[in-house]
Amino acid sequence: MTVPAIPPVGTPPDSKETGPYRMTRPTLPEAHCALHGMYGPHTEDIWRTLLFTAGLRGDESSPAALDRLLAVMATAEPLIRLCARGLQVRIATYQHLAQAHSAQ
Amino acid sequence: MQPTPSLADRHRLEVLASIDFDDPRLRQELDRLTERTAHRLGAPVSLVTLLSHISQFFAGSSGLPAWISEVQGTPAEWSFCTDVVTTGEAHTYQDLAAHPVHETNPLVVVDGARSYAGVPLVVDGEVVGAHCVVGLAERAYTEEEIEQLRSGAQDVVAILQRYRRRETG
Repeated sequence: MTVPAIPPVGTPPDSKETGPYRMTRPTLPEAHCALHGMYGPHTEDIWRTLLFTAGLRGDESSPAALDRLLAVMATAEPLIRLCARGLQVRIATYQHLAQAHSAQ
Repeated sequence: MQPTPSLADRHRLEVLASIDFDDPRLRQELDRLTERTAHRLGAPVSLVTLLSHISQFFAGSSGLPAWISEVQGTPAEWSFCTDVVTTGEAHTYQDLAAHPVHETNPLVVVDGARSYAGVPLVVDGEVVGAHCVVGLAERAYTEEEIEQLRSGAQDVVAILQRYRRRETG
């Protein structure tokens, strides 16, 4: 299965890398990429539906935009919910490490 | 972030998605089981990991550092269980710091993980994750210890089967 490269995105203020863990906060393009890993060529229809339900265009870069998308994904079919859960783990990991790193 | 293609098999993920691994009763049962495994193998950490193409979920755990225990998972690329899941076979790493993939893994470099032994968790013919132990020192695991892990994995799978969702996606 081929996974598309993640397009370059801007670096919002809270997306700096988290010290030695070298992690950044997930973004909308990364959520798209994660769905593509599951749905391949069928991703675009699903993606458009999720964006529409969340009231997003898809080019937003704020953490709040991803959180809105995840809230919609969390009520979708089981595979999409699994994807949302995985993204939530990555966000929680990032947030914890960012907090710990900024406290140093 | 790049999803791990070898973990992205659609049917495997569907089976994984059918397990309600956020149910607190499931977590309680699996936590107890990992405590038992950690005790039997004399390991500081034991886990039940469920691995998606982007994250690993700790469905049950014993002895994790507080922050990882709170998050209940990590990015998939940090998982020591990937080889177990992709091959369906037990794996041991005597020295993670000398492993070509994991020598730069933050869980090794920052959190001090040093040795690993894991066996597959097979549900409906799909390897959804692993039952494993992690040590903080170099360690060679014996075949007898791997058998103990396998025995624990059978118990884990029996528990996971009781927490399957019946909806279809």
